[in-house]
Amino acid sequence: MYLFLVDLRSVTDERYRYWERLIPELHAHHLMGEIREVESNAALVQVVAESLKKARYKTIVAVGDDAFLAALAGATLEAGTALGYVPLGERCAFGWAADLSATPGMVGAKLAGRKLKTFDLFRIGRWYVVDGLHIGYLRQYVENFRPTEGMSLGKSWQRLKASALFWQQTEKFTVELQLGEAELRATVSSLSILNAARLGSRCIPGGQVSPQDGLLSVLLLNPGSAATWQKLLQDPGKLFASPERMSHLRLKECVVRLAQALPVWVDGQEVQMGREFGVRVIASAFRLIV
Amino acid sequence: MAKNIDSDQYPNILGQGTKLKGELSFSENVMIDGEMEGNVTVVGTLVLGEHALLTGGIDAKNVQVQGTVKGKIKANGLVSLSATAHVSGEISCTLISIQEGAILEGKVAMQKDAKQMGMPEPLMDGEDSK
Repeated sequence: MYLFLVDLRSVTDERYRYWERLIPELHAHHLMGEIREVESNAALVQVVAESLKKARYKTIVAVGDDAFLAALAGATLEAGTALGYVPLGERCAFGWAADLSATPGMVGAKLAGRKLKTFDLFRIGRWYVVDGLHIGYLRQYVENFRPTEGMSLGKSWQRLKASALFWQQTEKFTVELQLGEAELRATVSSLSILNAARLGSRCIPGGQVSPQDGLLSVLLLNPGSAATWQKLLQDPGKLFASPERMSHLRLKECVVRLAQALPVWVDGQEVQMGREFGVRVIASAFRLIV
Repeated sequence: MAKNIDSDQYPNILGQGTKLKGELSFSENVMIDGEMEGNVTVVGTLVLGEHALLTGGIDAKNVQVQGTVKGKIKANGLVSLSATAHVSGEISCTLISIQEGAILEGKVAMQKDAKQMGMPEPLMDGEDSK
């Protein structure tokens, strides 16, 4: 029997009705133990603490988006409880990358199958993160060119063209990264720190951003220009993966310093972050049914 | 851009426009095409692109230079200087390849005889292998 936690912040009325359609399926697989609805991370932590104390459920399932799963993974970090995830909404990139879906007929069987995989988790300030952090172009890219479930990014030429033109128009900013004993400074259009990303095929050498390698994937995109756009037309296969256009580092931790406070997206949600914050990976932090 | 380099082989890339100060160690291949001041240690291969300017020491398995290095290069394997390379400093390696046009201001110390390691002898440009 599983405990299902429904995040009322991300599960809107329409999605709630969708979620209710899944409930009979969960009963049919004898998974349904209890449903608890929460409206804050503090409530989530409290419910999880109660559940762990009673040791009543061997699995806790997040029904919501990536940010909710990340908060649940953070709350169960020490206990190591097996987790499930029913991705509901538009900000579920991690869930989709892990091949999870909320499609009726598939959710119950997958959760009952209990095929567990271990994943990394990021700690950024007080936030736990499963998917990644974006500042600048890629943050706006995700907002404007948001992927939908079951759709791979960038197969459309028009989409590529629109996104590259958008890149040219994005304002640049200066960032410093403290990397152990070294300091990196660059003027960029985008900073992303990724755990798992479908953007990877376009941006990352090799196209891989693994949430299981115990590393942060730090991606800096240079400011776009007409010249780089012309080169993209000649070689559109890799949108950014070139030392002309980007830098990419695989690290365990770093400190980010910004010249000015900028909007920061964490797991698809805009959060308040200062001009300086640390990011570190917690390797093999949680077990998830996939 | 670095010539004839498949960026997929380099999980770490310090691209153009980056400026790095300090000591860095990598356990995977690295490509640097920006500016760096400090020492870099790489377990695998280090490629310095045409736009790279590195002031400091290098310790890597293999080093391919297309840009500028001001400092000592130490490699357990091959050091390769492309036609656009400019190295000011000592090179210590097992194998070396220098293309016509490369500038080397410093001496080269070969660590071991390539034959002892079962490797082919280094060739000068234009020389046929037998």
